[in-house]
Amino acid sequence: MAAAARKLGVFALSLLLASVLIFAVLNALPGSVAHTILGVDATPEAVAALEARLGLDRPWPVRYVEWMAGMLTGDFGTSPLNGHSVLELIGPGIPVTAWLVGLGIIGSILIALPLGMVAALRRRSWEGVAISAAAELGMAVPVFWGGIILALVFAIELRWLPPNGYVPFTTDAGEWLRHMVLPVGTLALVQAAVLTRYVRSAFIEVLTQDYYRTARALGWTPLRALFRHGVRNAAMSLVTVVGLQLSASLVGAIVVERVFNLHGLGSILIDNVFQRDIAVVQATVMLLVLAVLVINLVVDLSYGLIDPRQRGRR
Amino acid sequence: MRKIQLYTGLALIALVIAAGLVSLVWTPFDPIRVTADRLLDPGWPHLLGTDAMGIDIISRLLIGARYCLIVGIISVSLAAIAGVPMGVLAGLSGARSGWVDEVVMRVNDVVYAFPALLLAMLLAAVAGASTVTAMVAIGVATIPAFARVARAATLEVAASDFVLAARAAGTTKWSIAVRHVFPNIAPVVGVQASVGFAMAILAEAALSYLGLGTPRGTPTWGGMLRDAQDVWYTQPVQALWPGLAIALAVLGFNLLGDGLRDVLDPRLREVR
Repeated sequence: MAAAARKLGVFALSLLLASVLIFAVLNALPGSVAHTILGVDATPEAVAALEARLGLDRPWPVRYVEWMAGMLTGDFGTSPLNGHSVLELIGPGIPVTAWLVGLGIIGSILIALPLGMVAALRRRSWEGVAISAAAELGMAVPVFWGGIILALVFAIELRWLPPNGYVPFTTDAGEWLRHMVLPVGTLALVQAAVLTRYVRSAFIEVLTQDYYRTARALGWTPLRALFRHGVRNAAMSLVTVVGLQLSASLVGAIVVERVFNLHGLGSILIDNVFQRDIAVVQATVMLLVLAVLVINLVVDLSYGLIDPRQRGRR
Repeated sequence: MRKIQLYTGLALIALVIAAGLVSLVWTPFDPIRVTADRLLDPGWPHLLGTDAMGIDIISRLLIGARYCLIVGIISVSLAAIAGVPMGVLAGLSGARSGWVDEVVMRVNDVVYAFPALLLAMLLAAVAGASTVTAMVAIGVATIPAFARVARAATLEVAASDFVLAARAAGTTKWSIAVRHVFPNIAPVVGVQASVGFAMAILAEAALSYLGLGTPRGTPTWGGMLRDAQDVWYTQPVQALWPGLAIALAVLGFNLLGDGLRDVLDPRLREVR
């Protein structure tokens, strides 16, 4: 219990440090919001007046505390560029990105788990070597190039699927699915390349253990020994990797959204970076970092659930 | 046989370096100037054709190699220079004063929650996107990887008999770090640098593809893919070359990393 409390404490502290970092970078570096809105040849008086109206003339610790207090009560602020509430601007992007990352990671596990197990079991024969080589090649493919190639083949040459756009699930489930296949497939394939390597080494590790040899000596088939004893033991290292992969998928999703023109959190973030809308960038980055930290926390806490030996350990 | 990874990796990297060096003195055509020969198919004299601005694609690919290497070298150096001493400090103080280790590693954990892409966006939002913001973002985001690797390796070295002997002989912590720790963790750091270089190339390509790194117009592989996507209905092959270039460069550094790991540290060699 103490260990879990300590992990929660570290999580809260990390979140606090991350928020300070985001706020400091966005508010301390040159490039004032007022200048961006008014243009480079605005008079100093006009800039000062606008800053006063937006509350930017107050000291930064006050603004930081206000921002944090607002976020804790669900108020993410208002865009100084267009006056919309930040939550209204980024809200519609959340389900797009969540679907993309969620389905992407499930897809990559479904691809990588069987491939990695085969690669481990048959590591000395051509199947194993071929899978390892394919994974090595896949790891070198940038996610956006993978997306472009898939779109070229399945959307532009074969015309089976739409090359871009998004239809909400609630509007038309069939069209939603058609629009999600390519982006999710891209993310799943690229992540699966990395994951396959880890699954392979995790299971090779199991294959060298005494309990596996004993099970085999009892006459169990390799697959039975692997499933009865291997999966739980390999799960420890795999949970860590899937956690890391989830964070990587979040970043991958930002890029994939751009390739397929999906209006998710990533696209919204990039658009607002170009417009220099600090309030939206600040809230969206905070949201993404929060997601990464929550994933890390869940991974950390899940060790105790999977492996009783880890309970109570720091 | 195991060294095949090392040699393939080195060959691919040599190819990228050669392309970058050649581009310094010669490219088949002007890589920047817009011409009227738009969207030519591959042929003679434009072997891979021309893009929507009428610029020779091979010439742009050669220049792209230069940007990929510069961003990689600078960001990996930045990450190693900041991360390795942090890891060594944390590792050496770990046994005696636990709080230094704790503070250094917790700060690293926080930075670790910021992928290069997010950092680059924060910097681009305040300072505008450029090659420099991309390099700084990738470099800072890679620091934790170096710190962790250096810390783990330092803990192992610090537990060895020769460090114990040096300490018993009254050697200061500083000179233990310089004389014993750094030389012994160098191989591990080298492997990390190679893998980190591959990650940096991928990150740089993604940033210039998104317009968050080197501005459009400058020939980068990521930017060329963005341009290729605009003409993918009429000239689909244009999306092949820059992507292939990125993939080969990344493959080269990944293979070098794997190969170095095998050669330098036989204990890490996989069970076969």
